[in-house]
Amino acid sequence: MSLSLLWVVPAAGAIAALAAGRAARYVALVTAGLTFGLALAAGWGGAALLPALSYATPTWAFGIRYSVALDGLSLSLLWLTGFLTLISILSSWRQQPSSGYWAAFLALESALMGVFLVRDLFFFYIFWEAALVPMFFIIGLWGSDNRRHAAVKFFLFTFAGSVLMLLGFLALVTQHQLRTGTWTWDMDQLRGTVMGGRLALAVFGSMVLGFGVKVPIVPLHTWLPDAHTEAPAAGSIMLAGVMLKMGVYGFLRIAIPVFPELSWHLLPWLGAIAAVGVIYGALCAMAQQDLKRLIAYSSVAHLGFCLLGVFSRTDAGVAGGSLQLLNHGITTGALFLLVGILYERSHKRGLADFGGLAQSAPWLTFFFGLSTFASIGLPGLNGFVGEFMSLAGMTARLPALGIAGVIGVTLAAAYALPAFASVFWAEPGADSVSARVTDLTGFEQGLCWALVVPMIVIGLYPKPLLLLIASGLKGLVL
Amino acid sequence: MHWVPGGLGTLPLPAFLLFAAPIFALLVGFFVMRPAAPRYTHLPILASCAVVGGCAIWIASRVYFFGEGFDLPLGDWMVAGNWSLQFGVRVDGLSASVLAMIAVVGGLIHVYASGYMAEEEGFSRFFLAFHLFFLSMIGLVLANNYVQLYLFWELTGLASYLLIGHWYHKKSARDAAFQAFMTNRIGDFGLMLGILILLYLFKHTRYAMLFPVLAAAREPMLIPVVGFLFFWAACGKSAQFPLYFWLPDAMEGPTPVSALMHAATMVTAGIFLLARSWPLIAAVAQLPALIAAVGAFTAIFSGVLAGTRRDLKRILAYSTVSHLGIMAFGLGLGQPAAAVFHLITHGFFKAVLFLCAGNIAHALHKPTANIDEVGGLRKAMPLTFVCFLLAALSLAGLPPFAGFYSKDAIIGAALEAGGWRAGAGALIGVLSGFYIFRMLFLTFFGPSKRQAGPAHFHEAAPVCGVPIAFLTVGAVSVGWLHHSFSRMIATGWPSRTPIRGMAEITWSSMAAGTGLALVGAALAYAATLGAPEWEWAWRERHPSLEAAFDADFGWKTVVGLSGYAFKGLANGVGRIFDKKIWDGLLESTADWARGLGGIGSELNTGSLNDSLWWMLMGAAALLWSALRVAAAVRP
Repeated sequence: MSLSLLWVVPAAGAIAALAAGRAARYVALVTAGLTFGLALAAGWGGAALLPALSYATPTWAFGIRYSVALDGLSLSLLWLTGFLTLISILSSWRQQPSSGYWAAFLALESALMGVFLVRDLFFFYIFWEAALVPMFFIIGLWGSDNRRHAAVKFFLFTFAGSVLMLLGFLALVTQHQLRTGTWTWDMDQLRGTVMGGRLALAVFGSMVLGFGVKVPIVPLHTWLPDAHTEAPAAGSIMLAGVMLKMGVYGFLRIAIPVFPELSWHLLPWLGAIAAVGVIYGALCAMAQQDLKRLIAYSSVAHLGFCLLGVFSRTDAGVAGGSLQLLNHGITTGALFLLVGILYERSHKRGLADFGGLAQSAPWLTFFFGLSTFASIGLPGLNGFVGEFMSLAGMTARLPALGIAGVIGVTLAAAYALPAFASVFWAEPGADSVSARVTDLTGFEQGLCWALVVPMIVIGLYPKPLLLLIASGLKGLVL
Repeated sequence: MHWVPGGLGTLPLPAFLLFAAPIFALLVGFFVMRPAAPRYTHLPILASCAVVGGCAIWIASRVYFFGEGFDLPLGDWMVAGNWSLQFGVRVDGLSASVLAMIAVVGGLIHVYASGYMAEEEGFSRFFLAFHLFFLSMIGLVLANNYVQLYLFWELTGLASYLLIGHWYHKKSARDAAFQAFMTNRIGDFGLMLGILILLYLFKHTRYAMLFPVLAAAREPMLIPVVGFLFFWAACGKSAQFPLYFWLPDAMEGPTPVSALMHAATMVTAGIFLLARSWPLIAAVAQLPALIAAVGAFTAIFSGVLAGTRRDLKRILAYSTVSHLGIMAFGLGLGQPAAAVFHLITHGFFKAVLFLCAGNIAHALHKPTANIDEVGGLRKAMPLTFVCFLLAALSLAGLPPFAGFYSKDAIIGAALEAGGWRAGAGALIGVLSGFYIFRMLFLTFFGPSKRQAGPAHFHEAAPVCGVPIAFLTVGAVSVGWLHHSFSRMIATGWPSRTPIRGMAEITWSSMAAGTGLALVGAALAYAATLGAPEWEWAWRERHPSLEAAFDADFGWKTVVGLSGYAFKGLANGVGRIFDKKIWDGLLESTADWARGLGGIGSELNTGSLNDSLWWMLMGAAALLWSALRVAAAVRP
């Protein structure tokens, strides 16, 4: 099987959906299902068979070539992308948006698949930027009241980051050519490129900023609450569930392998950035009155855990941080799905707009509660595994940052539980819209189960997934 | 004690059933009973309790009679490279004895709850969370490593959150549930960090492979840090000062929850953690002394408060805090066996006391009752009265009741240690006699003119009465097993230094313990039946004194203010700094760029096109200069 199908199929599906008019949603569903099936099939033979799937064209000008390859890390993120795209499409099934909506999701899936597949920096950049466009339209056209502003802000922030990243790539590639005499954009060949100290710092810095905007790291995160809040629910699922992972993936795939020593020397700084994200994100989340904003800020904190693990460069930390990418995708995906359902029924998202839903909507409460506890790292559910491993990694390197992470674990309860209590437990106030919120339909329950079952399975038996992911992390551990 | 290689298949059937039965019951309860017949959710769960009770007694007797413990790794949980964590089950004297208490007491409380909650809304939700609580505690004591202990430790937190908040429509219940979870999480900070440090030092956290090699740690000076962190965690879970305050407020849950939480699950977990970690704790200089001091302070502090409370469940709640303090005091005095034995006897008599308070509240159709609403109940509720009386005698530590054997060992050790410890031990003995007899006299004797009296009371239904009677048998007689217990807890002790059994009871310690309790009882008599209205009179005369008691001598205020300050900090960061200052600054840069370009007004604010053009031009300029730089530093 050609790996390229994984991004070609959704791209073709996007065009077909545009052409299909009213039948677009069926095109979207079939394409997303097919793509997810292909992603699952790619991993059928296990981690050992993945290298055989790689494919590369001969080199074109300036060492650019199209090359795709798979390892455990990429594969896990492809699964996440395929799975959440399917969930996003199913979650908007009852709405009646135009064909462009469905096409945008498929285009987004195609670009994301490409990002996680290609091994050539040039194409990586192309796919990276290509992912911005459909998301820009998803927020800007189908978002809520303040969507224009959020879409532009999202685009400007992440585009600025991308441009910095591209600058870094260009400098890296030219340096490599100057040192070795060969042009190449291949990620593997660029590993450990030697360059002067200042320049290396500048190039690494540009990548940190470029990837960091996407993660997002504090203080480059302010696009995220706006974008999440204004995006339609399915857009938030993709944005938090997959797009944020691009940043961490960039660190894992490019920034750290290219600068293995520099990134190691900068560990205290990078780790501090991650730890600040964990605590700052949690504090900000505590202050939010809008469910979506709250979950958005909690994502800042959760991605901070991922980075703590990844930067630690230990077995546990890197594997845990990478697994946490998946965990966060599933858990936050579930939370945004449920908030989307709340919003669809009541057109409100404020904590104070609801109350007493535990009485009237027990299934909604059950799924939201479970996802909340998964998100705050309750052991037995998925979030704990990734968080704990990340912290185990960082504590072994820099205990002070490990402590900061554990404080973050404590704080998570301080923002998540009051929010849960005020929406589901509190007495509804006079202007509460709880009466409009009916319980989940069977179809919605099915979607929730699809997200909740992996939470429990990964929480108790993460071993196969960890082994798979770790097979793609060789060389990152010191 | 023999050792076998491990794997799920090697787990003995009774140990397997200890997990399988509750999990199966929960699944059936959730997926079958809850949708189909929610009023019968308790049936699979009660069946599971019976299985668990049988298996726990079976396991405990195997350990006791044949010394047959085991420590089985069951399989990997998390794996990465050469780093891994395993699931595992450890049955030794400590875990088997505590397990047996949890299974028996917990199971009987389940039966009681099926009667108590029968008319309540949310019956099925209640029972599922209740059984999850039970399962978590079983898993906690059976863990063979710290990470797995942490898993179940947190699950008890989740279950307590759901159960304390069971009547979630009440703001007080919601707040209490959050406070309980949050305070526990603040304690859990210590547990998690301690575990992370142990993982760093040893690459695993399995007790049996950890304690014998503590001295060989990579960085031995971190071991004391772990010890202090674990004690902090125990302060959260087992309600020691300064983190005790969540427990009295946790009374907002239904009474069976309080009984389960105070007797069998949750609060015993912290003491269990310290006992489990005893080889580590004992190896840290000054830590046992600190534990003794905190325990003694907690016991006295909350003992005084228990003697001033008016709400029956609150009196018992402060009494639990006080008894947990006694257990910590015992641990700190180097008597882990006595502390764990007190945990077990306390489980029985405190369960009886709570369930009796539940009977009283249930007769009033209220979640709780205070001393104004009761009085003279001994005729109206004879069974409840007898059970309460026997459990109270046990709590006060009068021979030959269960509490005597465990408490006497601790107070005896305190008197032997001398100095402030002897004083604290004596004071604790008097206080517990005082508050429990005060409660007994005010509730079942009298009534005083200020009390409502027994008019509206009737004896509880058999489904509530029978479990109490069984528990009372335990509260009376468990102490007689103290010799056996001393032998049992030494079975499979995971350290080279053997655990010291409980001290023999001597006539002098018996006389001292009994005397102290009787002094307390006499004082209680003088303050209640001796002066029937004094209880109300002093409150009227000294309202400021009552206010001081009600605020736990100001500590509640400190806690409240800290929470408030922290929320303020979060608001400052999240709403003011992040939103207004930092994001405001970033958003305004677009305007600056336009202003600098001199184009300004004719372009629409926030329009994508112009921003994009600026960005592209900037990017092109950057690109060009970067390439220049890159070319200039040609090697």
